[in-house]
Amino acid sequence: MPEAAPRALSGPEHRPAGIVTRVAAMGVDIAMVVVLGSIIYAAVAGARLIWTPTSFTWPTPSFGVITVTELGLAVLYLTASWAMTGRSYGSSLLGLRLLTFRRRIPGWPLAFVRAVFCVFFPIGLFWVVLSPARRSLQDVVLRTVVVYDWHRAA
Amino acid sequence: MPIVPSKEVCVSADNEPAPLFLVPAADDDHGLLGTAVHFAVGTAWWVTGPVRLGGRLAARTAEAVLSDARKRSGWLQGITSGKPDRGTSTPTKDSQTQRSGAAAGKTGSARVSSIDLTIQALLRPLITRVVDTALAELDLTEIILENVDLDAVAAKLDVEAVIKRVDLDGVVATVDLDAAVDRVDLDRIVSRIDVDSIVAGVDIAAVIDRVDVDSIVAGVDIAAVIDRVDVDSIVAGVDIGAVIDRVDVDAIVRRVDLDAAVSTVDLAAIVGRLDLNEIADSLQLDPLVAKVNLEAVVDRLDIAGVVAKVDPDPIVARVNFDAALSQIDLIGIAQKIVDGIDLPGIIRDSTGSLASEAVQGVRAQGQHADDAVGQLVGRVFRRRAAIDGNST
Repeated sequence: MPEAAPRALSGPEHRPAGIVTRVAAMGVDIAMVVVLGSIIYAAVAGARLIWTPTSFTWPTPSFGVITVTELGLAVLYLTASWAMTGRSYGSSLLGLRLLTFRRRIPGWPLAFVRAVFCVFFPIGLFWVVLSPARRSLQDVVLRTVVVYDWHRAA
Repeated sequence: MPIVPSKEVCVSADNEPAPLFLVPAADDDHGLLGTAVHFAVGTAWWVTGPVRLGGRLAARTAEAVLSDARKRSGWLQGITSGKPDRGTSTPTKDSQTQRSGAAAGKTGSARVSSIDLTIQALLRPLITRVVDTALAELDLTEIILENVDLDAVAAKLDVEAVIKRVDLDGVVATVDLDAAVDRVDLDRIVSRIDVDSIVAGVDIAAVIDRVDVDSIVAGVDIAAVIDRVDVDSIVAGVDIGAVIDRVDVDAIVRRVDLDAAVSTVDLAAIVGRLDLNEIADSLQLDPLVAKVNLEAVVDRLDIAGVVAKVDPDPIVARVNFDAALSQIDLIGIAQKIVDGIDLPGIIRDSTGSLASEAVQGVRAQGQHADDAVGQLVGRVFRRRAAIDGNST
């Protein structure tokens, strides 16, 4: 069950966000996932160096492994971010927050489903341009909304 | 001279007549035996009267013969007189007197002298033996002590004349002083001397008055004396604490004319010889400073006037800042400053505010962009977007 927002997020300052800020937030989130992937790669390489220092070679994962890993990281990252605070790092930087139609922070299942939906069908975001209520395809399906929220706390 | 043999007298040594056997016994205790003895002696004396008369006559005759013979023979004269030949001996005062007497031409005295000489020649050996025997039997010391008034004799002695006649130099020259000193037990003598009583009887003031200290000091080789003195051992044996305790410093100071003494001191020379750095190093300044009322001292100082007179440029030019800084724990001071400033908090707040302003700008620009896109799309699709920025 989604948690209730601590304060009212339905005023003029919390109107739905447009395509520009949401794309920018998505770009920051993608960069974060790439950074997380790089950290994981460096950690694996360090572990191998410690484990077999004489025969150390840089890991050369295949494209599929990289893709699966990055997609999995993206899903986990977005799920945790939305379920805990309603905003990922990109959304926090651009002042956005994901809420349910009841203006609440989504729960873990909803956050996970929306994360999978966003990762595997990112093009649905551009429905915001055409939507009069500035809702992406994921928002329409899952009945969520992304609003402006420049306050730090949820 | 007529001889009277019947008269019972005898001649003593001092020619005073004294009865021989008619003298009554001085002590009746002698009794009959004493009377008998006196009677026997008197009878013997009377019986031997003719013999003694004959002896006298023979003696007179022999004396006359010998006197004539002596006048005629010098050899006999030397034999009978018992003295050296007058022709070869040095004339003495006595002999001259005798000669002068003889020259007087008195026949009686010359005859008496001849008799005496004859008696001496005949009786000398006997007299000598008798005297020797008597001296051997007699204790002259005891006789003198019992019969002689030594005090009277001593009173009549001219001691000064005796001393003058003594050749003290000769006596001292013959004395072996070293041997005498070696035999003297000085320790025993000194131990028997009551020094306290001697000193008590000495008039020290009179002695000192008679001492010519200037001449004594002038004759003393002070340098040699000082060289021979082992000052270290003397000082080591001195109980300085006890000496100081016995000194009445207050009384001494009261008697000292400090003004006169200080006026004669060359203070500049003394200060020039002092090693002030060494003195300063040895001072315990903390107790002194603790007793000083610094606040009162500072209150009395004209700090402004002093500072106005100080030219800081030469002072600063002489300061070795490198040395001063090398003694300062700059790292520790900086650490304390940083801890007090809470620099991380300041940096965090400043960067946070800068980031916040930047983020606010980005967000605002994003919102404007969103609105712009929404308005554009709305015009394209001829709709009214209520949520766009210009719709409110």
